[in-house]
Amino acid sequence: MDVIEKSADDKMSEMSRSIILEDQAKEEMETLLKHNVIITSVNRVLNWARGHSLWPVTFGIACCAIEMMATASARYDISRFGYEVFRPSPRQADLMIVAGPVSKKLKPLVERIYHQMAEPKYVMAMGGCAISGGPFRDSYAVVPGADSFIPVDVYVPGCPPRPEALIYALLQLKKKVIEPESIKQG
Amino acid sequence: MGSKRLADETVNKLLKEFDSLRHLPDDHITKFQVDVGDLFFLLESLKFDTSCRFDLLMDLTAVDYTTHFTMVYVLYSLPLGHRVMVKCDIPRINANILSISRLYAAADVMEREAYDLMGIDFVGHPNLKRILLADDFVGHPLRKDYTP
Repeated sequence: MDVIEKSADDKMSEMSRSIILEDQAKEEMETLLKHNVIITSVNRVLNWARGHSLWPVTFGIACCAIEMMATASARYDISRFGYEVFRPSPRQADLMIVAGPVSKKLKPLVERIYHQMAEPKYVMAMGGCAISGGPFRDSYAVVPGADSFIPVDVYVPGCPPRPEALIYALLQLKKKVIEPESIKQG
Repeated sequence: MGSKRLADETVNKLLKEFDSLRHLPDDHITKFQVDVGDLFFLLESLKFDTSCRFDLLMDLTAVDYTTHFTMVYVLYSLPLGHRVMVKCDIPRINANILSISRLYAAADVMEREAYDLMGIDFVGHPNLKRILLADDFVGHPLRKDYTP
């Protein structure tokens, strides 16, 4: 009997100890929250940061690039979203906007720029030519779509797409970067 | 762009100098037709003759007439402000012509373009390789009989 009573006592003390520890943890949490500390997974934070500051590489092929420049300029101003930092080096960029028809002569250069970009990297096919070759699809000199040699994340239809369309596409890409699961279901 | 025609006495002087030279009537520009053999010497005179002084090669291109190619040279004189067009027929098979890149430096890239798209061999060109199409491209797409 003595032995059993002793072990029951121990159990009680263990339980009370765990309750005390839990209370302490709650208190600590509350003090942390008071100091604006939020606990989450590292990936979520990184994706959130990536999604809000996509840096495109300075790379334009044809008239779509004019619209891309207009999107970066004061009237449309993609810096509102954090995307205006067009990098002159692919090493510093994580987004390539393929803005125009890729000719067979240009294809190895586009490929090279893509491979020079650091992971994670995203590609946007802007306009009919980059999506499928557009009016030049049957040409002997033009590649029928950028996705025939590099993976494309977002397609922006138009000839050329208006700046609003490009902004919408950037926001879609942001969604894809922040919540990759939502796209997989799509 | 305002440009004068070549003066009549200069045209007559050139017609006397080159046997194969013919003056083609045109409302806008002084136009010549010349044989392949005389072409280089004609352009040389047009560049260095004091009454011509054509120092600017505005255009160099080729036309495929299916029976033959026609080379077209458009020259302009900055000091005298006149313009001339020189045409020269060459056979379609084994199409070749003397390069004028020694005469006009601008001809270098223009001849490369004509070689690239028309397949005309410019004899004496320092660097005759494709300029617009990829290096491994087969054929010359601006020829009328080209099929991809």
